[in-house]
Amino acid sequence: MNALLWRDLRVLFRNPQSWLMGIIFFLLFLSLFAIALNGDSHKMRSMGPAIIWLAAIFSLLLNFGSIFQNDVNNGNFEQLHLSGLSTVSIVISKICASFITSIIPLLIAIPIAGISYQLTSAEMAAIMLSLLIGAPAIISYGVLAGAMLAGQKNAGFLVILMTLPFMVPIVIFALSGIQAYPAEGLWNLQFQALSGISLIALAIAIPAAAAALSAYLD
Amino acid sequence: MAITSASPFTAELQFDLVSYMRGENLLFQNLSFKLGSGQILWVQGDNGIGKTSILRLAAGLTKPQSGEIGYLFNGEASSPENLVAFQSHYDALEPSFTVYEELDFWADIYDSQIDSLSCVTQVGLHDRLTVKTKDLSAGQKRRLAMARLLISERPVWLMDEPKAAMDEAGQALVDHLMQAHIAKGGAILAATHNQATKLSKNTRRLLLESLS
Repeated sequence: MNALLWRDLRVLFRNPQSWLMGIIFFLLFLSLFAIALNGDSHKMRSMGPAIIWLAAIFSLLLNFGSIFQNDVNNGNFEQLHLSGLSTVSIVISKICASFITSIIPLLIAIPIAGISYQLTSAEMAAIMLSLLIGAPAIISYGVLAGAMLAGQKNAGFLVILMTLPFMVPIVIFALSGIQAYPAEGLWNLQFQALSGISLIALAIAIPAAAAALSAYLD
Repeated sequence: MAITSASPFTAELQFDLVSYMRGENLLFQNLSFKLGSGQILWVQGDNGIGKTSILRLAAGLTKPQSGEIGYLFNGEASSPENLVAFQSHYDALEPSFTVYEELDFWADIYDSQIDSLSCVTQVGLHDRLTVKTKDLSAGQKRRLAMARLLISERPVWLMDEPKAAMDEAGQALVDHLMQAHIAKGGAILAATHNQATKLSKNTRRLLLESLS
C-alpha cells in the first residue's frame, strides 16, 4: 500500500500535465474573471470566495478522466490485482495521491488569487480551510467517476458532467462556512457539515470505485 | 505464499470441466487438466482460438461459465492471488519509471525475498538499470516482464507468448528460465502459436484446433 502510494505520487509528479493543467486553469479562470468584472475591487471582493471555489472545483475535476486509464489499459491494474492487492487499496492510494498533488498547488495559488481579489487574510484562511475540508469529497467523487469511465477515451468531460450534481452541497456549505468564519470561527456548523459530506463521500466512493474497477477485469 | 529454495513445496493448478464462452462464441467445453510442480503445459493453437482465455481463467481474472478451477499449495486449497504470476501480452510497465524503479516497486508489492538486482542480471538487463521503460525495445520490455515473474516468487507461472518479440538469445533465455523454474518445483502454463518446445521430460501440449 505504501509502495503503491509512493509509485502513484512519482507517476503524477513525472507526468505533471494532469495537475499542472488544473492549477493553470485555476489561475487563468480567476484572472479572466477579474478582467470581466472590469477590475471593480468592490465586486471582486464580494464575489472572490465564490469564484475561487468554483475555479478550484473545475480545476480539480479536470484531473480524473484519465486517472485509472493508463493502469487499466497497459495491464498494470491486472498485475496489481494478481499480486494480491485489493482494488480498495488501489483506490485509496489514488485518492491520497491526487489529494496531495492537487491540493498543495491550490493552497499555494489561493493566496496569490486572494491578494489580487483584495481578500482579507481571514477570508483567505477560511477559503483554504474550506478547501482542505471539502477537497476529499470532490476528489472522492472524481475518482469514482474516473473508475467508472476507466475504459473510455476522452472521459474528462463525462467526469465533470457526472460529478457536478454532487458538488452542489459541497459548494453551499463551503461558501456559507466562509461567510460564518469571521463571526463563528474555525469550527462553525457549516464546516462541520462540510467535513461530514467529505466523510460520506469517501465512504461511498471507495467501495463503489473498487467495484467499478473490478468489473474491468472480467 | 512465496517459494524459497529452503522449503520444498508442491503446487497444483486444476481445471475441472471448465467451459468458457466469449460473446456468443463457445471457445471450449468441459476442459479438464492438471498441472503440478515440475510440469510445463503448452497451450498451442492459432490466433483467437482461446489460448489467452485459458491463461486468464487460470489467473482468476475471468470466471468460467461452468466448471471449477482449483489451486493447491502443499495439498491445501489456495487462491490465484497467492499462487500464480501472469506474464500477459501487456508488458504492464510504467513508462516514466526506470528499469530499476520498476523492479524495486514490484519487489515491494510482492514483499519479495529475492534480490531484484540478481533478477535483472538473469534477464540480461543489468546494463539498462537507469533506462526508462518507455525507451526499452519490445524484446527488452518482455525481458523486464519476465524479471517480474522471478521477483513474484509465485510457484505457477502463466506465460502468454513468452517468446514474442524476443531475439535468438532472448528465446534461449526464456527456455533457460522456464527450465530453472520447474527445476525448483514450479509449474508453467504457457501459450504459443508456434511449435511448443520440449523443455523437460514433463512437458505436455494442449492443442486447440478449430474444425473446418
